[in-house]
Parts: sequence; C-alpha cells; structure tokens
Amino acid sequence: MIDCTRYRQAMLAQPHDADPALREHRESCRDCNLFTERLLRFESGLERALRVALPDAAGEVVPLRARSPPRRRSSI
Amino acid sequence: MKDQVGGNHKRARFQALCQSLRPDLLRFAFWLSRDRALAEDVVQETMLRAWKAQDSLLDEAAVKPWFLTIIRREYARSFERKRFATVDIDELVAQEEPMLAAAEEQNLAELRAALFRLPDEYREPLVLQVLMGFSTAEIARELGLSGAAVLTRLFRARKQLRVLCGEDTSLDPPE
Repeated sequence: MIDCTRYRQAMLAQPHDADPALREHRESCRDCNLFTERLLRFESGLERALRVALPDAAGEVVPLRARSPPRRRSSI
Repeated sequence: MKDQVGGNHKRARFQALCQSLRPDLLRFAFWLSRDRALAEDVVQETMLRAWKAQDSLLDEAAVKPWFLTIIRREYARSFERKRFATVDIDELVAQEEPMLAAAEEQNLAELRAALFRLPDEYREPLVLQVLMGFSTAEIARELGLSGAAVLTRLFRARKQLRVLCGEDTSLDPPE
C-alpha cells in the first residue's frame, strides 16, 4: 500500500497514470482525492497552454524542392 | 517511368507526413527555444534534413521521435552557428506575447509565462509528455536519461510550475 507522499509524487510526475495501486489509494484518501482534482484541473490548463496558436502559414509545408521556373511563352 | 511514379508517390507521402506533423513540431521547437522565429527556422531545416535522410526512417510508426531527434540536433546546431545573447525572461515573454497570449484567458497567458521561466531540463520532458504524448520510456530514450530521472524531472517541473503560477500547493508533497 502506498502512502500519501508517494502517491502525490507519482501523480505529479504522471497525472494520468492508471496504476491500480494509485487508484486504490486515491479512493481511500480524501486529501489525495482533492489533490488529484486540483492537479487534473491544472493539467488541463497546461495542455491548453502548450498548444500555442501558430502563425497563419504554420500548417503549410514549404515545398522541399524548388518549383520549376515558369515556362516562357513563345512569341509568335 | 515506373521509378518516377514511385518517386512522386514517395515524395507526396513524405510531404503529407510533414504537413500533418508540422504544427506539433513547431510547437515543440517553440517551447524548446522560446523563440518563434528560431522555432520556424529549426523546423524548416529539420524538414530539409528529414527529406534527405528519409531512407533512414525504417519504421513509420516511429516518425515523431525521429523528427524530434532531428529538431533537437538542429536546435543545438543553431547555438553552434550563432552565439545568442543572454536575454531577460521578462523580455522574452514580452517578445513572444502574440503567440503566448493570443487573445486567450489570462490564466493561460500566466501559465505560458511560467513555462518560459521553467529551466530547460524540466520544460523539455514536460513538453514531450504533455504536448507530444510521449511515454516515460520514450522521453528517457529521446533525452538519454533513465526512466527514474525523467520521472524526477517531471515531478519537479510540475511542482515548480504550480508555485510559479501561484497555485494552492498546500497538499503538494516534499521533494
């Protein structure tokens, strides 16, 4: 059985850790349950914060190969 | 003729791959460098190097770590090419404000500013985990660390970040 310190240390490293031992501790400890709620709220903000808006052209891939120069029109 | 069709197909496939990954790669490079212009340069250079080295990509499932390794190398190279002046973090935050704030909530902007202040050795594994969805083992491989070292860095990253953001840390564990 893990204690509160181990539980919170593990959760701070991996908030979405699905280890059954962690779940078991959380379900039996009110403080750790509260800690987890706060942490997951913070984590959700962190996920959004890291998804910075990209410049307009960011989705575009610059062609890896230069385009061929435009063909000259033949003068008649 | 057949070779040309195969080449075109390969080129199109690779271009599509780059297209789908580019936003995440750009975000990763941005959090790595904390500089939008440098991030764009690094990603562009990464794409060129990846294009030249695409035959070395044996497993398409491993494409993300493959690109990230190139980005990290390119970022390191950018320091070899150019010696960057030391910049104050507040200046850095102000400089990248359009990308950090981008008309979003105030607490997101604060969180981003706090991420800027986080030491590189904590920010990088955190970005790999949260943004790129890497497992502890993948982060360890990418950064050349043990799994335990990665977990320690992730723990410290969140702990520091929460303090920087003024979160209620009364229930946080000691180091």
